[in-house]
Amino acid sequence: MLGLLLAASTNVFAQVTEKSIPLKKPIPLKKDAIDIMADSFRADGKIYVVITVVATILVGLLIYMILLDKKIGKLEKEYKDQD
Amino acid sequence: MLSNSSPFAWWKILAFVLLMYGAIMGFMGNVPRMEQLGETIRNLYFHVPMWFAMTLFLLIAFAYSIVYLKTGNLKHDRIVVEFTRTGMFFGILGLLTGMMWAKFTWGAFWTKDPKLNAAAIAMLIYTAYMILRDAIADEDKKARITAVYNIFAFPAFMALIYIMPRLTDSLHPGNGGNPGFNAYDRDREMNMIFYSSILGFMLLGTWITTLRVRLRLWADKKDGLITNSIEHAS
Repeated sequence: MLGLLLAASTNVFAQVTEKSIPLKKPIPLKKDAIDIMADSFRADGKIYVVITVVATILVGLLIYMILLDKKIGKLEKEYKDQD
Repeated sequence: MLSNSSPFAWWKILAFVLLMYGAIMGFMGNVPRMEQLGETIRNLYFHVPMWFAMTLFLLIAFAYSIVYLKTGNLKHDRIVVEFTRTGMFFGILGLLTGMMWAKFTWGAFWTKDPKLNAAAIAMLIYTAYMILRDAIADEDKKARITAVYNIFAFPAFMALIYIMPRLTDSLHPGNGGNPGFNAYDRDREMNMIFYSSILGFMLLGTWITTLRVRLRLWADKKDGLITNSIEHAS
């Protein structure tokens, strides 16, 4: 996949630099470009810390939503009992 | 099968399974290497779903506006308000996340891109809907007039967001003659994460909205505005 993309980038894109005007469309990185992807960040394994943090927040949000849902359900039931 | 008002209804759990998948794979999955975009291409999983979800909520609000005009049941009016509100909330998140993405790829928080200005105008249209609601005291009159407004607002929103930017020059993929993301750089793995993230955010927003609708109907019933049973609310 990556090889295909790299092979597809030709001299046409050679003039494009970081400082150029906004690209009309994303262009695959050329072969000799400085790699701007976060490979080293991932290589030392710490990206999993971020994923754990995001997952924790999502779990917290889920619990909060369930508690809120329960509370509203209780309100509905209470009012119905009063009738 | 658990009812929709149960906190453990299947679609509520599915929302979080999908969001969790999107959050984990959104960071870990492989993405194509692009000039200027770099790792920010992963914003596709988080920024774009905001707009898809917003569109769905406004569509539901539009549909329930028609239903309200047919039935005259205030319950349907409440569904319209709350879905519009959630839609606007997702729209604000979409604008904010888009601004951050734009700053680091296009070089500015706000550009003259027609899609940005159109999105801002669309937000104003729906802000006017909220203000219009506050301006009318009578509940039935308020519901009827704003339902008509909402029916006109939705096609305007669609034209502004999805049609107008395609007719002119735009930086957004898929607009102004630009090919969409899927034309060259979205493989099957990216699609899986992208679609599950969209569906996840749609379900989460729907969940939030049903809670607000239920609370509102509960208050309405207390105030004697609505007399029919609450169970049919969600």
